[in-house]
Amino acid sequence: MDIRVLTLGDSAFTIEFPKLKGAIGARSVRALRGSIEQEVEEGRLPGVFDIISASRSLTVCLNPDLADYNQVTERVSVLAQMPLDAKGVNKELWILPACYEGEFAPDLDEVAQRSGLSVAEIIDIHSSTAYDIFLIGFLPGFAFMGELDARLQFPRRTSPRVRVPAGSVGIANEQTAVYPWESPGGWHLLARCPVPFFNNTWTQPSLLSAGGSVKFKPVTIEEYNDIKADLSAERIAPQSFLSREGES
Amino acid sequence: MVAILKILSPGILASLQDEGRQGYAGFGVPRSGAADSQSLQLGNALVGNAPFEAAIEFRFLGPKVVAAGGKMRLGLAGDVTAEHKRADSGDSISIKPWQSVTLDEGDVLSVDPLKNGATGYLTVEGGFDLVPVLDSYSTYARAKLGGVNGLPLQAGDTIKVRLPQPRDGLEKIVADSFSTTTQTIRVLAGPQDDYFSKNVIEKFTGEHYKVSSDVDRMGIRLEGPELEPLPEKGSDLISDGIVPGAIQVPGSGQPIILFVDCQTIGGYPKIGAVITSDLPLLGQLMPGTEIRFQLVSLEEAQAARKVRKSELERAISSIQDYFGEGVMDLKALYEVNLIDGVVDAGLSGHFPGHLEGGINEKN
Repeated sequence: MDIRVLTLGDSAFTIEFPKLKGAIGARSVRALRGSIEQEVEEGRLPGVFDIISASRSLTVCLNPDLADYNQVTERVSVLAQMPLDAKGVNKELWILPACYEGEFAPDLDEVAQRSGLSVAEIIDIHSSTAYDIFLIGFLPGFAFMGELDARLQFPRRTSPRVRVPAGSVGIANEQTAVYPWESPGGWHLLARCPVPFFNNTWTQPSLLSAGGSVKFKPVTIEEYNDIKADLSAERIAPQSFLSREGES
Repeated sequence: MVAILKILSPGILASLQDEGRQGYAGFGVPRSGAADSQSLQLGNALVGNAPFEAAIEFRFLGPKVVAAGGKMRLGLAGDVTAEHKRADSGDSISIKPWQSVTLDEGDVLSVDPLKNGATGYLTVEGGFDLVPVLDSYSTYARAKLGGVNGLPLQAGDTIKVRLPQPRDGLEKIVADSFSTTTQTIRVLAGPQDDYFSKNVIEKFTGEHYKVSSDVDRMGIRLEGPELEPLPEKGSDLISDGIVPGAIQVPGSGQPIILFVDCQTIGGYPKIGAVITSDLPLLGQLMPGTEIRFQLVSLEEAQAARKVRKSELERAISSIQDYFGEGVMDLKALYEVNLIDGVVDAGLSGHFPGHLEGGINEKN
């Protein structure tokens, strides 16, 4: 497979699959991540302390006092060119409640106008796809997912919002995501999801992980409020929205 | 008895920081950690701590703290001065940069505004008694991780010190510290240097860039000659991994050095990345400073790292006892006489009780 190795200072490098995109890119990145993690676990890549997955590339961070930059780069390049291991593919499917109503859906009308579709059609289109989780990044627990139906694809808003509330479900270009934290953001907001996506006390601090998939299930404001109350009172666990379990 | 440090005023952006969070970028968690890791290490050495023990980091304007319970020894790290107000006598004592100071219960330490750098640290002997979050004490406020309740320090916050009281011994001072300021920042080209023409890369390294007023732990925005990407490449790329020190060039053409709290991925081309040895210098960049970028090779980056390391080791080995302003260093004086093998009776130090003055006059 074609790869490019890109220098990112003397303590990181990025390995890129220039020809891949979308779900196939994400799968290749995930497979490569798995094989690097295994090498790290087996002690064959000393000094590698972090791996950042992107949609068609992966960034390896190393401690230059413990790792030999050139050796690590070479070894990871070899791994990237090996046939991808299909084992350990993430088959998780999450069905996440999303309320596409009122103040939770500030951009729904605009997206309807621009796409020439009705609000009901947009909700239907957005909630009928099981999205692949491409990567977790940008903010703790933020999952980039896709691909979005072509009819809903629009570039980011020309002026980003200063404050996007936590739980906002947004779309931009061919991707959709949920903001786990309040933050500035330029995506078009269609809904609000009551589920927490990150908690440092969980064994895996991010609820979602790359390679799994997510489907949104429309709920009313009343249902949203009930679910939110149940979650905060710990009557239900966020993990209960997992409808199909992981590895196979 | 528990020693407790209380924040009377947090200054600007005071937060607890250590080496940062490693191994969680895959979950979207920024690295965080000290903006000037070299000063943090020296500040910890000053009070006998492990190099990356968590300390209070402050930016531009230092905090005012009080020993609300017990007694503790603090280290003042960075090109920073402070005033120590004693509760018992009401006296005020000036604290020099890179000096340790012991606070009795009720003593107040007011750190002065920073003049020669952007970042300073207050280390505490024995370290602060906090709970690590994802293997680090570093504060990352957006996701409420680390520090005290996941937030920058606020007036009224109290932090327990692990040691009930300082170990015996004199105050210390770093006699020979390193310079934390610079005009030249060394950079390795990439990962997207191919987005720029040779002329633009020459502009990037040949011209000066001014540090704007938009400087924080997420990024350092610069002002200077515009760095236009090649027309066929543009300013948008498929997002990829970013690390502190990466220099991204958004559509405006004005570069931004991403810093310790930066996100884990980004979608602007990165013309280069600051080498590891120069990352601590970024933490000291003041708005208005003119800097220049110098492209180096991987080998040069490795050599620079060794130099930086020996600089830190030299500074640590220069830590010595400190008796206070105008008081002589007895130990050094005795050593001098021992080595000379001759006692200079004319030296006031020869007669106990006449230490002060003599040497100072000679100096």
